[in-house]
Formats: sequence, C-alpha cells, structure tokens
Amino acid sequence: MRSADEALLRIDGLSIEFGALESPVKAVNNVTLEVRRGETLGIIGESGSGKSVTAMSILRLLPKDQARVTQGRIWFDGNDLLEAEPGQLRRVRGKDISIIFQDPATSLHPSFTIGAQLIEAIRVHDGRISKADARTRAAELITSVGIAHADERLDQYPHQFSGGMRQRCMIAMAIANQPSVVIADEPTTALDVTIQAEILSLLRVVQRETHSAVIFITHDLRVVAQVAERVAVMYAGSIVESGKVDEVFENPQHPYTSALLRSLPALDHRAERQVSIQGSPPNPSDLPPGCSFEPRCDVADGRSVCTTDRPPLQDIGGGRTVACHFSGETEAVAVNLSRHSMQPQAIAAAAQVDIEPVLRVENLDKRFAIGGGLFTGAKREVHAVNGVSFDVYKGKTLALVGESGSGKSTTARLILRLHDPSGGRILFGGLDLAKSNGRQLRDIRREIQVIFQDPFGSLNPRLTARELVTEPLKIQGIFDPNGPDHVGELLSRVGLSPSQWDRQPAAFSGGQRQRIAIARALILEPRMLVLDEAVSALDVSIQAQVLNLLADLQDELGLTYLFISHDLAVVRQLADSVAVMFAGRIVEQGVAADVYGSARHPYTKALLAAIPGTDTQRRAPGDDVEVTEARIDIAEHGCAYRLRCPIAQDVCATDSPSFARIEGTAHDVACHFGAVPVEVGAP
Amino acid sequence: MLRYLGFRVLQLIPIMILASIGVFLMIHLVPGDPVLTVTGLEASAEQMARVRHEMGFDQSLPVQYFDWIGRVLTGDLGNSLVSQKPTTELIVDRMPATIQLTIATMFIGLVLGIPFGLISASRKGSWIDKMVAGYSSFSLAVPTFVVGIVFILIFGVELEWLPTASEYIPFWDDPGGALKATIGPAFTLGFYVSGVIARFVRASMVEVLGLDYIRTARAKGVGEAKLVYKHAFRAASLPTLTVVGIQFGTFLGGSLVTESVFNYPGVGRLILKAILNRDFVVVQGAVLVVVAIFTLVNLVTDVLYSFLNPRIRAGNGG
Repeated sequence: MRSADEALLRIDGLSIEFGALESPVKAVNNVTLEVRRGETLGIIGESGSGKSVTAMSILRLLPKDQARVTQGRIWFDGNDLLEAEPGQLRRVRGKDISIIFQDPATSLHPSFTIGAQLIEAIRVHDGRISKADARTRAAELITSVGIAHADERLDQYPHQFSGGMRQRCMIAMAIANQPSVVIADEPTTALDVTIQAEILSLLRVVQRETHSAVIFITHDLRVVAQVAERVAVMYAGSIVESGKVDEVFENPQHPYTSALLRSLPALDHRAERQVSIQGSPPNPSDLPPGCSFEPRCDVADGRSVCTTDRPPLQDIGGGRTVACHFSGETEAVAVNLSRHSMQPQAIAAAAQVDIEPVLRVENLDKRFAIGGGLFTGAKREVHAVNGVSFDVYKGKTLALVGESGSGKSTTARLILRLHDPSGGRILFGGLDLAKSNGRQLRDIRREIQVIFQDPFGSLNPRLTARELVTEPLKIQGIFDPNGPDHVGELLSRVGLSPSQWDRQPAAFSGGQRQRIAIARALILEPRMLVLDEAVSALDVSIQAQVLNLLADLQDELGLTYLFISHDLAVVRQLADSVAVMFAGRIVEQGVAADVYGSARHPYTKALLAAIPGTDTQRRAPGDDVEVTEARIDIAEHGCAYRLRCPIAQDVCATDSPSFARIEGTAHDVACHFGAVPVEVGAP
Repeated sequence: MLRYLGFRVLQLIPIMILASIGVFLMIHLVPGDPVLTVTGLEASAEQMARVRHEMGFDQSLPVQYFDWIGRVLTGDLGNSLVSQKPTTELIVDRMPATIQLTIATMFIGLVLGIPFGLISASRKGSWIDKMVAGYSSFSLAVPTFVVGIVFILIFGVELEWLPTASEYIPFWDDPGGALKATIGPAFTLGFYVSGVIARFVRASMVEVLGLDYIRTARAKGVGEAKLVYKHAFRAASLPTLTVVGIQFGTFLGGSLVTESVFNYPGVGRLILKAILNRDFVVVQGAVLVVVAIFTLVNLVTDVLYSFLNPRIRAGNGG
C-alpha cells in the first residue's frame, strides 16, 4: 500500500516548446507539481499560461508535430510517462489516468452513439468483457452521472444531448475504468452557470466515490476555490505560487496571485473601480530575462533584480511555494470569495421613473420557424423572445442576464434590427425601430452601436487599428481626412499608443482588440452601446481593465449601455438595473442592488446560488452532495420555469405568471409566489 | 427522410428540363448542317429541303424541341442516322460494358486511393506523405491516353500478358477473361481516380485527426491504427463519399478517350463515333442519358450521405 502522502503523479521540471526551433514559443517552463491520492489540485491561470499544455502533456496528447518536451519527467506508478512505449502509454490512457475536456460539443464523436463510445472506453482496456456486459456497465455509468433512461440514452448520438448532458457523458467515460487520476481541463467553462454548478457537484461525488486524484484546470478563481484543496497558480508558463487553496487565497504571497484575486469582480457590491492588472501577459516567444510578471508588477517597483534574475520557486513552509524575490512585500488582501450578507439596499431607483428613457422596448416578440426544412417533418416555432419590455435611461446601464438560449442575445439583435421582430415596439429617438427601414434605420444605427463577444472574429484581419476605426466614418460618408484627428484621439482614449495604430488585429491581444472594437463603436458618437457578452472572452485581469474603460467612458460621454451577459459578477460591476431572462421572457427586473440583494424569482436565486464560491456552494468537510439528475425542461404551459422550480405549485402549471411590482420598489417579478419574500433553499 | 427523398426527386425535374434544352440546342450551336449527314455532300437543294422537312428542321425551335422531348419521354430517342438502329437500343447495348468498366475503375481507385490517403494523413509530413503527394500529382497530371498507351506497350506489346485491344466480356460469363479484357482501361482510369481519392481522403483525414473527439478517443487509450481507420475514417468517409459519387457518375457516362485507346465497346466510344459521324441523333440521345445517369448517381450519393450521417438521419421527425 502506498501511503496517502505519497505523490500519485509527479511532474518534475517540465518544459515544453512549440513552433520553430529557432524562435520557440516557450509554453511551459520548468514546472514541478504533484498530486496525491484522493486530492484535488487546482491549476489556475489565464489563457496562454501553459496550464492546459501541462495537463495535455501528462498523457502525451499534444500534437507531435508541434510540441516538444525539452526537459522534465512525468512520474506515474514508477514510470516516466514521457519515456513510455506506445503500448504502455495506451494502457495508462483512460485506465489509470483519464481526461475530461473543456468543450463537450466537440469532444464526443458525432458518428457513434454514446453507448458505443462508452463501451469502447471499457473494452479497449479489457477485451474479455463482452459487449453485453460492457453495455450494462455503460448504463450504470451514465445513470451514476445523473442521466435517466440510460438504456434508451445509450443508443442516442451526442447531438441528441444538451451541453450539460454531454459533459456528464464525458465524465462517465472518464471514470469508466476507475482511474486513479482524473484530469479535468476547464470542464465547465463552456457551460451555463447552473449547469456548471451541477457538473461541479457531480465531480465532487465522483471523486468521493472513486478516491481518485483530480487535477482541475481552470481560469476561474471561484471554481477553484470551490473544488480544490491545493492550488498552483501559473503565469507565462511557470508556476508562480502554490499551496492550500484557503491559504493562498487568503494570504497570497505572489503579486500576481494577489492582483488576480483583487481583480475578481465582487458579487456583493458594486465597486467604484475594478482593480485591474496593468498591461497584458508577455509574449511566450519573447519572455523577459527576469521575472515574467515584472512589467506588470506593483511590488517590483523598478528594482533591478526583478528584471535580471528569474526568481526560483521557493518552499516557504507549510506546503507553500512562491516564485518572487520580494514575496514578503505582497500586499495581503483578504478576498472573501463568498457572498457577504446581502442586505437589501436602499431603494434608489424610484427617481428614474420620471425621466424619459433613451430606449423603450414594449412587448417585443420574436418567433423563429425551425424545421419544416429538408429533413424534418412538421414545422415548429421557437418563441425566442416573448413579450419583453424594458426601459433604458440616459447614462445608465441595463443588464440583460440569462443562460444560453434565454433570448437575451436575440433581444439585442432585434433592437439592432439584425433580426426583424415578430411584434412589439422598440422606441428610440422618437422612432419605432421595429417599423423603421432603409434610410431611417441607417441613421439610427449611428446612434446605437454594438460590441460583440468575439474579439477575434469581429475585426477584419486585413485592416489596421486606425483603418478599422475610420471605416464607420467612411461608410457614413462623414470622414474628413483634413479635419482634426478624432480617430487618433479616440484610439488614445481607449488606451492604444500611437505606435500601435498601424498594426493589424493579429498583433493585438484579446483585450486590445476589444479596445479597438470600443473605439470603432464610439467614433460615430452614438448615444447607446449594446455590449453583447463584450468581456466574456477576456481573462479576468483584462476583463477588469475593459470594464473600467467602459465605466469611464460612460461617465465622460453620458453613454447609455445595454449590457448582455451570462456572468452575474460582471453584471454587478456595471449595471444600474438588471433584467433576468428565462426562456424568452423577463422573469425579474429591477435596480441591481435589489435584484442581487433580495432576489424574488426562484430562477434568479438559482443563478445567484450557482455561482461557485458562494456560501451555499462552499466546500465543507464531510458535506454530502448528491448527484442531481440532468434536466431538459422548459415547460410549455404555465410558468416556463416550473419544472426546475423548488416552490412550484398547481397554479404554476396552469397560469403563466404576470409581472408584479413589489410594493414600494421598482422591482418587478414574474412569479406567482414572488411578490412576497419566500425563503427558498438553493436547488 | 421520405420527405427529403421526395424533395430531391422533384428537384430532378427542373434539372432534367434544363439539361434537355441544352442537349437539344447543342446540335444547333455546332457549325455544319446535320441534314448533310443524311443526304451526303452531293445532295441537290430539293433533296436537302425534303430531308429537312422530314426531319422537322423547317419548324421553329420550340416546336422542334417539344416534338423531340415528347418522343424522348416515350422512350424513343430517334434512330441513328448512320445505322438506322434505334438510339435507345445502341445505348442499352453498350451500357453493361460501361457499367463493368466503371465498377472496376472505382474498385481500383478506392483500393489504391483510400490506403494512400490514410497513410499519408496519419504520417503527415513524413517521406511517405511526400511520396503519396507525388503519386497523386502524377496520376492527376498525366493524361489518360498516355497512361493507356504506356499500359498497352508494357503489358500488351512487351510482356504480351494482355490483349492490346480489349473487348467486353461480361464478368459473370467468364471472370478470367473479363478481368483480362477490362483491367487495361480500368487501371488507366482507376489510376487517375486513386489520385483524386488519395488527395481527398488525406485532406479530410488531416482535418478530422485534429479534432477534439479524436483526442478524446486517444485519451481513452484507443490505439493509433484503430484511431485512424475507425474513429477518423468514419468521419472522413462522409465527405469522401461525395467525391466517389461524382467520379462514379462521370465514368458511367463513358470515357471517350480511354475507351477509344483500348477500343473498349462502351458508351464513351459510341458517343465518340457518333460525333465523328455527325450522327447527331445518337449524340443527343446518348448525352441526355449520360446527364440523367450522372444526376441520378449524385442523388443516390446525397441520399446515402444523409442516411449515413446520424445528425441528419435522426433529425427531428426524420
């Protein structure tokens, strides 16, 4: 018997390079870490930090023609996996060590049934198991991860499962052979927040039952706080700090960890400003000779040792390590990842009512016909947006919040008239946009500009930053090459230095691209910006920078924002009022402080409770979590939410709840039991 | 699924109408007077006028078209101007030879092309990959008549293993003889097809091998060989099917050059001879049949494709 303290898997001095030999991209630099039986090790880092590359290298899943391991060993069960013969490696893969990948939409083979893929996972390691026995085992497995009607489900293909269900299947596949190590690479990043909560608790149950060690890779600090016992923080390919999660988060020793924790948007209050880390991570093909974090570090303060000597990872006792020359100076930040008591805040909203809104949406409706095409039978209709009404006031931010499929992005597209509404009114600047067309619409589009989520796909790669921002002026026919340089002013304002103006998007990071997108949206001096998940693709330190920029611009220019997001913490930082959408309807709406502080709709409560790191989710010793069954359920009649609702009663099945104002507030809720505060346990 | 099938069959109608108009006009677009084919160059003006009237060429084009298409719909493609035999009969006589050749061609093309494509995709960048790339470029670049003639020179003239001119021997009558008689043209065409397929299989395989679900399978412990032929090829075979279908349809229309080089009695040679004889009735009829076959084969391919793709097959209410 191995002792519990002994490392099950140990990575020793691992370095990995990509790209050409002459100018290698150093993705991983001298990483050492280990994981013990039954423990969860979180590896946290922003994109490009090398966390996923490290994880993939354990089972040698990096593309052979691109990645090179330049040094290091990966010890497992007395062998170096990097030296393992193909046959030996294959026996480890999926049997002793298994992986759960990030995107369940692409990680399952579309042409094989779920059953076939599970059966293969079992039989590939033991051909003596008959197909029938393997199928029985597969059925047990998917039942154990909370999928009902296992026998039927096994014969279905991945596209017949929802994202959360597919991830459950991936987990079932990963635990099929009772591995001793499970690597989870951003397993919930592609999922909605309530689904994420389900998957995280499922992983916890699975780990408790299998006693496997889990390596959990994520960019999300809240998630790591919830699932891991120990954490390793990676930056620019190296581990900068590691230790017990609670200790690292409460008393970070590396300036990067500290800054990362401080830049996390708070849930319980709206901060004056987001704490952000200046600059962006270094280019991994051109790392500075000293500390990689030095250019962004507050602690270094120009001291030469930081620019010349790379700090080694030092043991500072108590199972903690840190790589910083001046770790003692790191500002101690008490970041409480749990929600503080959320007292209903003063009702500050009433004042708004008299002012004329900039944008008023009334009973907006959109139905999409699906099917009726080549392959399907009867035509079906999806009611993507169902009687949505809201006002957005000048200089304020309204956030539309919801999970994927809730209709929030469709609503934004209707306002921009990228889709034609099926009904309702969109009043803006004295016009009903729902009925406008041609010339009118073109003029209005100057007034409402949009910024999309994907900073990579939404900028023409062949134009320079300056050209991209100039383009809208040319389209509108108001570009004056001899006039004052508004484009330059604006580019400076969003934080791009003149030396960067003539570069193409490929030369910019995600955050910088989003800055270009903001400048492009603002060049026409719009009254309103629609921000469709505009910061969702950005790393947390960069996200904070962009949120600050948006807030400053709003103050300076009196801009009105419609902010679409699935991220409740981000919304909290920017929104004056919040509208929560579910299945095409707004279910709760009000001043941000009210909605966060005293949520009335069970769905809003579920969303808030599902955020990792909140009290209800906090991992406690000996806590007993159950596998909840995966759901697919938007009710067709009555209240759409009732199938997931913990307080639903008979009336919910028959009557669709209408909006009711909570007395003395500007807080509306569409729930039969919402007008009175009912205490609801988290689902 | 049935709806889809019905829709696709309905789609054939406008395609065939357009094709028939094209084929019909073809004869009027090429220079020269088809009447001369019947009367001979020495004919008098009256003779030519009489023949022109008999053949309906003095009518307006729409009248001629509807006249012709009406007969085509009853299965009458007209009689050959040279042999006086019905065109339908001529085509039906040649069809089995062409079908046999096409099947042999596709067999050779697939048997060579798929493994080449698989090997080069799984060893991307290796010398094998480069060899296969060279092979497929070569097979695509060298004209079929050169391949055919070289084949005849080697196996027919030098080694004397095979006849220098082939004939049609039905496979079920005499498998050995059929093999000998068909292998020449079949290899000539199959060589070309193998290049097309190898390229296509490689391209789709390289794409699929980089996908997440292949990584998942690898992480499960599936061996590299099985990964390639089971997981990746399953996905890559779908787009390959389309190319195979197009090739199949093309060769069912006969191959004018190869059939002529080997003197193989297929539809291709029928068309070529008819063109040389200015036998426009046969050309029109045969080309129309070829177009119809091509369209049908593509329809079958598409239907097969959607049947093999679970996302389409299991589509809502499918």
